[in-house]
Amino acid sequence: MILWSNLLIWVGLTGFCTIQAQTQKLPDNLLWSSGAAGISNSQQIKKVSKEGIFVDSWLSFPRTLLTLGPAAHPKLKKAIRDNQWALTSRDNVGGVFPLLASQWATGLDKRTVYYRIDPLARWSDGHKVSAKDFYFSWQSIKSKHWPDPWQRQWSLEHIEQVKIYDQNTISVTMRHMTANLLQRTNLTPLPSHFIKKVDPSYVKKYNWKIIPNTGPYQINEISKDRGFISFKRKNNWWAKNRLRHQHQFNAEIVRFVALPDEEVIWEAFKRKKLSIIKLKDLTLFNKRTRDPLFKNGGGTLEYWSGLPAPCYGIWINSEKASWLSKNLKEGISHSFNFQRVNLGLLQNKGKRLKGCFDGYGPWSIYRQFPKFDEKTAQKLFMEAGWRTRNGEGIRISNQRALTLKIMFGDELDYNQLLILQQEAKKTGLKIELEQVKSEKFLERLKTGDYEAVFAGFAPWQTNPQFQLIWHSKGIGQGTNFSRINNQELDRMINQYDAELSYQVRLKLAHNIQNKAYDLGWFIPGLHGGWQRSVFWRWWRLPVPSAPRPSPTPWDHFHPSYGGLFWYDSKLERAMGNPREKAGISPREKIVDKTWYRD
Amino acid sequence: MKLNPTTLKRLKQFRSIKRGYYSFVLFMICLLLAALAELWINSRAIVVKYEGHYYFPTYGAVIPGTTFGFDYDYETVYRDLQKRMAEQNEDGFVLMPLVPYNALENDFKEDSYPPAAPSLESKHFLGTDKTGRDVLARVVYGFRIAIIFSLILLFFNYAIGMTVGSMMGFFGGKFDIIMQRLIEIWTNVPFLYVIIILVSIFDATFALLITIMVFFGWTGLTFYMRTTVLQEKVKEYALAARVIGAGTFRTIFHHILPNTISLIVTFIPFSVTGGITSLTSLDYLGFGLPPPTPSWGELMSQGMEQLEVASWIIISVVSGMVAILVMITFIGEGIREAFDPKKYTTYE
Repeated sequence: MILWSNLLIWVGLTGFCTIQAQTQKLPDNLLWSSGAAGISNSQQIKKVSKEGIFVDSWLSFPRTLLTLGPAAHPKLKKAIRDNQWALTSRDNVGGVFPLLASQWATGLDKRTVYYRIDPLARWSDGHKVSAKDFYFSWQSIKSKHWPDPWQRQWSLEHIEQVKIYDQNTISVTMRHMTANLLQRTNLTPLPSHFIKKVDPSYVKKYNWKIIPNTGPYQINEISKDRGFISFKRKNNWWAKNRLRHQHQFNAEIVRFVALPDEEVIWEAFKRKKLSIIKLKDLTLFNKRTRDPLFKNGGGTLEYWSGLPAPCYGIWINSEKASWLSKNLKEGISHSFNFQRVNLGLLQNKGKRLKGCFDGYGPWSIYRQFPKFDEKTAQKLFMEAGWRTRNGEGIRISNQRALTLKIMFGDELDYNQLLILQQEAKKTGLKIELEQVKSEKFLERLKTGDYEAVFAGFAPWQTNPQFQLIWHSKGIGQGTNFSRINNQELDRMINQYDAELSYQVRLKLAHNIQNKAYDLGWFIPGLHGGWQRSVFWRWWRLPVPSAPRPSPTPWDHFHPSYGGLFWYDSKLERAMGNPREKAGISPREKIVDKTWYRD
Repeated sequence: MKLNPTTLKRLKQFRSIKRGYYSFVLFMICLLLAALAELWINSRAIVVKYEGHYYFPTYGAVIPGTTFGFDYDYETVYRDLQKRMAEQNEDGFVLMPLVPYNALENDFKEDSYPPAAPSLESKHFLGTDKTGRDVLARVVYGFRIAIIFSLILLFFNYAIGMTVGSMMGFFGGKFDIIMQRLIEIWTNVPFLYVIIILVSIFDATFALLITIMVFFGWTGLTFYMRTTVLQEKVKEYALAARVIGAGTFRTIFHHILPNTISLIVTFIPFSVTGGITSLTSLDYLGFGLPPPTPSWGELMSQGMEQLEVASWIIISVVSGMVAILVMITFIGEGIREAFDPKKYTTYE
């Protein structure tokens, strides 16, 4: 009985698809586009060899191949998702280019996007990618067994309908008109011939199963005892002749080895077991790059990503610190010596952020935030009535010492705060530090039990989002760190989110930022910006290292900026031969400032 | 003060054990130096003579820069004052401590970045750590905190442990049995994990750490005390005291306890080392005293992290720690030998 009913549902579902296909007719007058499809990803590279095993490291071995749920390994998740193509993708300069779609068109209702799927698109097991796969994906995500509740919720709230017109044509309709329509309707298909159904056993069943994908690489080896996972490039990958991806994805195999800690990773690199390693710590980078191996084939890269900076700094809690007058707030801003932090910890290579949204092109406004200045701070404190200093040198007013208690979570923040604490004494401000660890930190953010917090947000992809940070809705979620409850700001943010016109949104974005900065609860911190790595020189990079702003030139699979490096076997052979080596310059040191902005 | 002949004999015996005795002298010197750390490791000057007046900034309130003719009103940077006075040939002098840095300040140079290697010229005799703080200052102030921590811990552990232990021995019966079982259960709680859990719930402070560690530490001495009191309470002097009419409290604390002193004294040095190592390991794991308190554990974890870059950090802190622990162990060994009852007891 159960079997039957299951079958009925299944037949019904596929029947529904065929009915749809028969009855639905594409609207006329659609303007089809294929975006930035014609742009090659890396014009600088002429001819590169497509070979080599590129080995990178992870700090832990994944517990599952699933990309959903709390146990998912973040690095593996990225690798798998980058190879599980969606309809379109965007590069970091705003251009949308096709992946599985070949063309798209926006409907007149401004809620629907029509997609034509590339007829060449194939799953890694040879099946054709069809409209059904997208419909199945939408249905699966909506199903109550889908392991990612957030994704399910989003999909239920935002996507109204996915329609199939023929085997290669679908449309996705949103519930509301929205900006970034292409980004929102960008579905990723699921292989309906392989998964068939999402049921309660989904997680168990697909824990270690390799699901067919559409991207350039697929997992070909998982060695749990030797601790690595390999991705192999597909020989007859359906998109390999696309202009966009011609010079991308050059390594034959990309392997990820799990190693316990940074020391072991460095030793493995020295023994040529790894192709590159990333070095966050600047002192370590400077020290290690003096190693003799850098005369024998090691290269160093310092790269400025050019992407929007994270929104990082000191957020004063407007609820807890409501006693701060305007003068006091400004005085406090003048008491934070980030210049000295930069000197002491970042060897003067960091940059002071110019606001919460630094690097979003026309979306950002850049203000002159108060710099450390003991004279100005002193003047402001005096005006606010904090005239005398106590035995510790801290300003007092009515028996009360001028203190600010800052909550922080990260060890790296701690080092910065120590310096700030020492420096703030000069203006007569006492900074108390309170370290709070991960989960408790989030809890405290939600309840608002802090006077100030040192924390930040990872950058948003395209244009700034203000809802989380400055809207009063963010107070309960613990993302409105300053706990600003300002009706005018709320109104502007709501308007910004609903607005479709680019010009109006831009203007609103500027107004929102101005308004929020005027309130004065945020003191911007520093942005490290540089990304440092050491690599073996036979892994070559184009010039510039990344053709567009990207988080790293060493990304493996990202459709827009991944896999641009390639293997130079001749160079490796030459470096191993003393006579040939003499002709090659002894070290390679790349400092890539292409995307640097001041 | 007149000491009783047994104690004098024991002290003499202790002095004759050279290793223990010299360790004791050295350790006392270390303690004294640590207690007076502000006088030889400090960013404040010891004496300043300026315009005919003498200033002693070491202890006491901040003296603003304006007092010495600077244009700022925060605490005077005495190193600058010394330099200025020397350069401009001003009347007066600044006497700086041997190490002119405190344990919290970050010293950044214009031409190099921390951590800086040990150097006589910059007066960072053991170099600086990764945020430019003087390692020697952190080691000495860290030692001071560790030893104070350890002694406070010892006091409470012993006060509770001795009282409960003697009561168990003295009263015996149900009280003894119930307490024994309770302590057995209590000692089987893995206290390091409990501390880690508690510290991640509450914020670690000096008082909280002491409280938690006393909470789990007092049991250590109880069983030894119980056994000794069991032996002592049936001896003639104890019975005599009872007969004369001494109460329970008086019998335990005035008569029996002094006779268990050799046991207690023997345990003390090892409890001190225990206290130091537990605090250090907690700090090392990041569950110890809140930053930026100078601590050996924090220096150690930093030293491990910066092993390739700044080996002086780990070398300094490990040598300091090994030296102190070895000294205390030698002292403990000396005391144990000196208080060995077999030396003075004759069995008939």
